[in-house]
Amino acid sequence: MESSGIHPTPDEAAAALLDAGSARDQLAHRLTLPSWFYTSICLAIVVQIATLAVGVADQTSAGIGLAVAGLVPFVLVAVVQLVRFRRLNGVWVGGLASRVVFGGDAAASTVYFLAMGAAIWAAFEERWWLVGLCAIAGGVGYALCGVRWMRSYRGDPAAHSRGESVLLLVILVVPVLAGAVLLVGAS
Amino acid sequence: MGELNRHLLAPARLKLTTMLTAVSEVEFAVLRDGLGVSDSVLSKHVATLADAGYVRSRKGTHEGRRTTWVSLSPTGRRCSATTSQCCARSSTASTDPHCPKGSGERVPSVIDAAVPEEGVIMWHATAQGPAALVGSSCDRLG
Repeated sequence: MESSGIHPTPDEAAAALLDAGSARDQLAHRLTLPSWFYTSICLAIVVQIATLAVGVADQTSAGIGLAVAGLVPFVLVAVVQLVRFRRLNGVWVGGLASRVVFGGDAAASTVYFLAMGAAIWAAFEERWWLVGLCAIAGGVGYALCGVRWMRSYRGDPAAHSRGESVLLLVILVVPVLAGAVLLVGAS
Repeated sequence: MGELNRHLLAPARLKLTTMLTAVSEVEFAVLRDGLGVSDSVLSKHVATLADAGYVRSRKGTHEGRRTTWVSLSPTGRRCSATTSQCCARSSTASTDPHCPKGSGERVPSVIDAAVPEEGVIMWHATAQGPAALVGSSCDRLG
C-alpha cells in the first residue's frame, strides 16, 4: 500500500483493512479474565444485597451500619479484579469496568434493583429465606449479564470497549457516597 | 488530501488505531506484539499519531516496571468509528450523516475516487471486498 502512495490498489486497501480488523479482533479475543472473576462478583453482590436488605429492614443504627458495611466486600472485589485484569492483559477496558463490574449495563442494573427491592420487601416481612433467595438471584443475574457483555464485546470490540464518561460516574457515585455518609452520620 | 490520509495511509498506523478501538488503554508491549513491529517503529508511529492528536500516550507502570500506555484520543476514536462505519457500508449507499459525501457508494472505478472539494480519498476494493474511506471529514468531526 505504501508503495502506491496515496493510490493503493483495491487489493492493498482490502488487505490493510482486513488485517487491521483481524488484529483488533485478536486483541479482544486474547483478553482473559482473572480467576474467579464472575464468581467473586456474584458473591459480592449476594452479600451486598443481603446486608442492605437486612440493614434497611432493621431500621436501627446497627442495621444502617450493616447496610453500608455490605458495600465494602463489593468495592474490594471490584478493585482487586480490575487490577488483576489490567496486570494480566496489559490493557484497560472501560466497558468491562463500568458495565460488568459496576453494573452500568442496563440488564445488570435492572436485575440488581429488582433483586434488591424484592429482598428489602422480604426482609420487612421477615421471610429470611426469601431474602437469601433474592440476593442469590441478584448475584447470579448480575454475573450472567457480565458473561453476556463479554460475549458481545468479543463480537464487536470497538462498539463495547468504552466505559461511561468520568462525569457520569461522578454524578452517579457522589450522591451514593454522600447518602452513605449521611446515613452513618445520622445513625 | 486531509491530515488523516497522511497519518493513516501507513498500514501499521491504520492497524494501530483499529486495535486501539478495542480497548480504552493498552500497554506499549502488548501493542508492539499485536502489530509485530519493533519498539522503535512503534514509538515512531505513536509519536506521529500523538502529534496529529489521534492518540495519547502516558508513562506508567506495568508489572513493576516503567512503561508507556497508549490510548485513542476522542478525535482518533471518532475518526476510527467513522472510517469503520463507512467501510461497513461499502456495498450499499451510505445513509450515515457522519460518512463523507460519496462513501459507501459502489463506484465502478476500482481505484481511488477523489472528492477534491472534501479532500477525501476513497479506496475502492473489488465488488466482493471492503472499501476504505479515509478522509478529512474526521478533521471536521474532531
